[in-house]
Amino acid sequence: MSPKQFLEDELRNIREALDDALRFDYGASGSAGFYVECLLRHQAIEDGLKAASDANALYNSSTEISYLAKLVHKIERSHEAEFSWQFYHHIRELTESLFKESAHRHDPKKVPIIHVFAEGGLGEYKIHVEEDGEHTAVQTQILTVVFPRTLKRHVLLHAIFGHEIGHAIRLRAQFAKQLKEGVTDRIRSSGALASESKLDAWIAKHYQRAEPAAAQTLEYWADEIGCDIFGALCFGPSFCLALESLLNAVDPTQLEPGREHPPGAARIAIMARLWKACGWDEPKLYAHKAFPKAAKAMAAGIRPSAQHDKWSRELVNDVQLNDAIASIRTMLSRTTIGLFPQPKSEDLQSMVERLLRWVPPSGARDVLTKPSQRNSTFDFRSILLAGWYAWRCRDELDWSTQHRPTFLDLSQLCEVGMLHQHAIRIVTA
Amino acid sequence: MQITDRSQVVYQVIADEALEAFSSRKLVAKHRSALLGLYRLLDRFRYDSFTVSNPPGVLERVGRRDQENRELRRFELKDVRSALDQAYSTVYGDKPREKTIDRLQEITGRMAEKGGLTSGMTKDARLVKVFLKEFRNHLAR
Repeated sequence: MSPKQFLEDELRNIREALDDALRFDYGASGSAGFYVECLLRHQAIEDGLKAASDANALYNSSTEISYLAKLVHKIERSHEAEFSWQFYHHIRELTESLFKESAHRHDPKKVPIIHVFAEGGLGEYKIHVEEDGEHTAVQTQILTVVFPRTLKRHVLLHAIFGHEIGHAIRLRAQFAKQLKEGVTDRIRSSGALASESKLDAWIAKHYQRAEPAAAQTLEYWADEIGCDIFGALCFGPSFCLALESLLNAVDPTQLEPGREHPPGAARIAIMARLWKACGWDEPKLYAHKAFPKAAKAMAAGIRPSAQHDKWSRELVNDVQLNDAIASIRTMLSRTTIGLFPQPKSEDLQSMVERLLRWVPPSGARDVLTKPSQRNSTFDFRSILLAGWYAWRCRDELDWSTQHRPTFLDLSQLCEVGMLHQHAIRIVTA
Repeated sequence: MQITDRSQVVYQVIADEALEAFSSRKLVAKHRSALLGLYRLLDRFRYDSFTVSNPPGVLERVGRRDQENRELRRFELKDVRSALDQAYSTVYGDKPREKTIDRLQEITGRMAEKGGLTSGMTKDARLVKVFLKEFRNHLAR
């Protein structure tokens, strides 16, 4: 069999796998878009393969065929229907809105296809971005949202996707430029991330070991810190609390500096400073006349040790942090739904009160006892905040039953709250 | 998914196919991917943003010292950028970049979306072809 015959055969196999996989209706919004895009790519690769007359052209076809096979394999094992599809819907809506609004007016393909699938392991939260320059046969770019297989219903933790959206929106050159100039370059303008030698000195000082940082570590760390800031401004306090919880779980020491990520303790300390910089430490935001202690506990947010706070300041000082916040805020405030909408304290109060009764935080009005009441609409990030509020302040709140909800219980109540909100939006539209 | 730097090959194919599409209306549908790839490349050119990246997940390898990761995380499209700069300067000289790219994207977007151009675009489309040829030549050097 010649290489060309083999590749032709493999293309036929992919076509079969594609038709076979798509017999099932994968995805909350169906898989038609994904299927059509894969078919178009298949056609383009087939045309290219037919015309291929030398080893280089065959190599290109082979690479494209292999990549298409991987994509089809991904949809086969997406497990999408098992996830909190309501949360996925919001991630999709948020991301699509950011892409649509940033698109140039002539852009014929404004919004990428967003596809979700599961991967094993706690640390698998990710949005894979299909950048141009990697493949020839792309019409609509595909974003793959990866959830950890075991955390299907933990919507409170899913707030961490804010960080991944920060990476994903760089797919738009306009955002990439704004984030580089306003955030990454700013973070690298002084302090430990200003040069490799400064970072080496920082690591040597705190770890008593000489471990030269890889050349790219500066860029990676600045990017990761930038995306943490982006996630917090996009998802609000829930992002900071989810990041703290997950970093604690993945690396309980929080101390190890990675090649790609700064030590968890420093990331958490930066979030603690951002919490204050955004004014989320104001108890009045969470005020509840029946539970004054809870409002104070929530406002306290994250409390890093003095040492970790110092670390974080050596990496990013207050001026750099405030500049990065201002830059991302400006960028997100130009979009309709990008920036975290701070809920009114009375709305937050009503959502928390419902949770105390083990009721989803934002449901339809009570038509039997309060017929004149109107349905309330809340942004899904407010619902996450209510869930985190109830979890963080569970000891200061007065629950309707002796048995208190677990983290998963609260996550699921919030998930149902989002579902109710979706229904309300459909009815009131 | 891992990334590899195939940008030279990718953009050579895109430029060749886009040129074919601009030369024959029959080939526009066949080379729609290339026209869209060109459109997106022009966006990179507009914002001078030539990084291709595959960032780690928010918690990926966090806390692991045994994390010598050989995976390519990012690369710069340096040759592509240089080829675009040279092609632009040859064809458009000192013309303001933003306005010119706007027109280039308008033409490329229209070709990709509608399969053809308006009569007012024909003259500029000829320049697009010259620009593409120059870009392709500089890319191959």
